[in-house]
Amino acid sequence: MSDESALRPADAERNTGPPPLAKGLAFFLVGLVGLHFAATFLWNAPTNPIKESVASDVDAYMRPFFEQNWSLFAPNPINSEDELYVRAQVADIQTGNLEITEWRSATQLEWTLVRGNPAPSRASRVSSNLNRRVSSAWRALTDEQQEIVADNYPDMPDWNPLADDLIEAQGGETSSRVARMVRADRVATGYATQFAKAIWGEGVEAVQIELRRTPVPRWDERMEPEPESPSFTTREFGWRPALVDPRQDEDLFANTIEGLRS
Amino acid sequence: MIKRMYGTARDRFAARVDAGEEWLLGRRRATYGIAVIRIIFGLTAMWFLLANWSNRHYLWGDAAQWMSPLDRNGNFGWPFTLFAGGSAPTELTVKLLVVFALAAALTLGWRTRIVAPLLLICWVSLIESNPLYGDQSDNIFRILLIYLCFADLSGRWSLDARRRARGSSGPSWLRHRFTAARRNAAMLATLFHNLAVLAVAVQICIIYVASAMYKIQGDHWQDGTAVYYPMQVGHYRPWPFLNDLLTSNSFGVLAVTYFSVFIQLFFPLMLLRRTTRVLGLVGVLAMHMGIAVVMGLPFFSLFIMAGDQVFVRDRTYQSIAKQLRAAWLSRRLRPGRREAVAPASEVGESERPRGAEELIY
Repeated sequence: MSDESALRPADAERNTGPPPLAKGLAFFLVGLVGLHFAATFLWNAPTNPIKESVASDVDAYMRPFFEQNWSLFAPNPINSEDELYVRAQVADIQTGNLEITEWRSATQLEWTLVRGNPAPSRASRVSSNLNRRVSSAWRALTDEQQEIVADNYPDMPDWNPLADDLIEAQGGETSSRVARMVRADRVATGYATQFAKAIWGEGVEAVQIELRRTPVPRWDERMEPEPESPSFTTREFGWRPALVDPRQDEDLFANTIEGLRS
Repeated sequence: MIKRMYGTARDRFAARVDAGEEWLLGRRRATYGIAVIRIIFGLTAMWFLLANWSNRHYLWGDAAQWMSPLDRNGNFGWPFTLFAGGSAPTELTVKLLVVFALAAALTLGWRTRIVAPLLLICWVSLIESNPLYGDQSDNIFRILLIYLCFADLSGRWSLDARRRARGSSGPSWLRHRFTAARRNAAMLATLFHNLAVLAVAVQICIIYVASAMYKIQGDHWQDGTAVYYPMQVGHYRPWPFLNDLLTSNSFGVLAVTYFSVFIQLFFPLMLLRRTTRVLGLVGVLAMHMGIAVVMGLPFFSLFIMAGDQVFVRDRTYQSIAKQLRAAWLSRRLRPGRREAVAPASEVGESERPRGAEELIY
């Protein structure tokens, strides 16, 4: 790099270095960069008095462009598999009778993108992350509300009956907790509907989701034989009517699932 | 005596300030490192698009409209909304091809002053339009690319540099006219470039130290088994055989777990001396190579490994490039292939007008 530092002739004659204006600007900009990293530091730091006193300013500055979270596999690494299972009530084309399908893991299907692939597609993460979204909304509910979510609402035209019951169970006042759960429920139903139609065809009338968590055996128990009782926990939601967004391209979704199955 | 001590301290302080000014304004720093970041970023972005190409509608298209109840664009407003709300099939394909072309242009270093901000806008729009797949690689890429928009990305190994070296930047009357204005602009560009280099370096250090300090709070990082757990999760098992082989050895698991923590925690301190800097860089690069291959996270790893390149000195890159060039020439000079060597192949950096890259801005 030393060859690049050769001064241009005009500079060499005067030999003055950078003009004062450039120096002043440099000081000013170093100050700005310093402030930026002070904010970045506070954003990443644990809660402390200074952070608390300027939290809203730091938030306003950092979001959304400099949002970051470096708790990568930490404090404790991910130690369970979170899968989304789906089953459906499908109308028989000839008889019109409703039949209940077996459970299928959308997540295992997406994970076929990971096996033997040096660069797995982001599509391998969708249903597992959906599981976590629904799960965190569910955990915020009261016991009574959790039972409501496990109930069947197979015929509701929109999600108001479910929302009303959830609101009633907490005394008639709505809250962001209910809004988050209803939204998560609708999204999961929308995904489950597409998934079910891709697997079981057009006759899907209602769908049900199950969140399954399978913990990785603890390090010191990893050599022990598989227990006979299932080692996973499940969280079953009630039946919901098939839900399709007006702009949903169902064929393209089914094509993707078809691609994963083959 | 106190007065003399005060005077000495003041002189030393003034000398440090002068050195700082010289560092910021003297010339552009880490020019090759920045070029390598640019090239890795561009190639990784293209690879990312190819890896997701067959699932593009499932992730970003109208096949993903079932996501509509969710807030689908983070808190990003216009112009980071190019992919918000899904896209029809043809529209999505065309838009992704545009993003691919921008990433290719960045890789080649073509008009980077315009291409880099455009790619930033398109990339953030694309990534943020789906709220269900994000990871920290998105934040690394976005934050570093914001800083890099202020840097001279095409100073080295780029089409822009080649064009400038040929002196064909703009009409000649324009070039000869505003010499003084151009020199000031070049100094301003140098200042911004060096601040961007500094910002990338500080951000990388924050990433490493923060992630190490999160880790040391965790039981499994303390008892030396942490890396075993994610490797058992389907999502991080592209080669199950490899994962099981690696986690079968308790000493290996312990060594990799502790190594990951210590190399990250001490990374900034290791930068202070050349020997430890080389060790530190080799250490974090090895760690991220491992994450890339074993856990199937190549994009995350490549983005952060790109950032590490800012710590490699220009002199190191120059000597690597020299050796590669020599090896290449000697290959081409082997008997029977002599005719392949044209005289012009020796035209390298040495024959470019000195300082031209700084002048023409």
